[in-house]
Amino acid sequence: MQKGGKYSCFDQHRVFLDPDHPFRQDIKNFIKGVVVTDPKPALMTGAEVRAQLDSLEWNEDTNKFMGYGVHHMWTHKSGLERLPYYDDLLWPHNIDVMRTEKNIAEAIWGTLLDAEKSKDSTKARVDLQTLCDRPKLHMQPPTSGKNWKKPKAEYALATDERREVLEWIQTLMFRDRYVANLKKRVNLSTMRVLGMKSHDYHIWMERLLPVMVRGYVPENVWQVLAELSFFLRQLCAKEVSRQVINNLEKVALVLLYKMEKIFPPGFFTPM
Amino acid sequence: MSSESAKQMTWYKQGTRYNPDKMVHPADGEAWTHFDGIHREKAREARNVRVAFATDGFNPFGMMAAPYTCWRIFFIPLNLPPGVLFQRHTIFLSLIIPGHPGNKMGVYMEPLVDELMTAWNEGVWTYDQATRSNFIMHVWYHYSLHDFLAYGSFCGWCVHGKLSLDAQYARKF
Repeated sequence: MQKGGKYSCFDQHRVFLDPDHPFRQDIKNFIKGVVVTDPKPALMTGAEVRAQLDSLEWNEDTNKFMGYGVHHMWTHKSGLERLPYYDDLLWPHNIDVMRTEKNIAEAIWGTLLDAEKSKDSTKARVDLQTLCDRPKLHMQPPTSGKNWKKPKAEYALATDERREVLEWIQTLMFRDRYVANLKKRVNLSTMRVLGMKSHDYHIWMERLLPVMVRGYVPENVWQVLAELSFFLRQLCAKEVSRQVINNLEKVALVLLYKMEKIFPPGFFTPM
Repeated sequence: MSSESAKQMTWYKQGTRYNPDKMVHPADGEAWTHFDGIHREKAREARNVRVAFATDGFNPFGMMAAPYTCWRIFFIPLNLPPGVLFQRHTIFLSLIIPGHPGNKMGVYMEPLVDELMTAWNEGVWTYDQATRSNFIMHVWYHYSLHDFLAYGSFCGWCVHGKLSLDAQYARKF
């Protein structure tokens, strides 16, 4: 991101969609004017990764591998690469769901309630202006005085709505040991909920989010958030059937694009 | 190891499943069956152990007390039934790395990889309490679990900047 400074994954994955998917032709909702026609890239196999690793040459001058940052990003060879069966592992490295879910939940919580982790900052709006075609969200030049105005986004809650939501959280009752006692954490004067841990985010994301924001955000936004919540609930289930998992793989991509239609590019950071 | 827990190590193959068509264990996954298809000989022995590594930084002096991080690598046998898997008593500490390992993660892991090599090539002569017999146990690495930043130092693909796409998904250059 030019202004936000962080790397954004916005609109990087349209190549993974089916060739005739309508989102590929969409020039309005994603990066403006871009149509994606490239075929879906194949998953690299273990042998290909091995070939790439073997072809690396050490550059004495820069103390990095040749072509680092241009053709590849290998910084060092992992110790596990010595294992003879390393190529046969389909998924040798996994990123844990708990942390990812917490990051997603934090970003959504912050953006909806305009709390500290909000991804909808002024800088994000400026980046949005350069990348997307969403004139409603552009920063507005000052009419009087010298401050630019940030128009309220449809997915964010207004101040009185936020108060209502936090008051609703104060009435919640849970089973023992199910989740931290959220009603004690609510601070109405600063409009914050303090000390949410990853498990609290987990419960909030999967159980409370769809109920909490319904009616405050437009129906199409609510639908996407509810879908996300349902997606994570299926993914984190203790038992899950094979059909559901196969389906989730397809749903995830489309869901990501549905979210990209709504949220600004700065929302889609890898962490 | 008690005979009960020795028996549990073969659960993924011989244990009872209450809902056979549901996925409840890493053994139901594609990566597991794919590996079994290639290394049939070793996969046939149910007592052979597959392990996962989990790593992350932590601060032994309390998270806020000092700007210091210390890394640990846990070792998790994946053969166990779902109720026991990933529980506190079945996660073993294998390495403690003082400070942030960064790109030297591979160096710190050398002893661990040496042991994995032996366990794969030669196997380890082990006593099985459940059947009261000896056998050669092979152990191999199945996957690692970590967050996105640790992923960078663990597999050697830098996760910052423009090319920070997943190494597995990286487009061909």
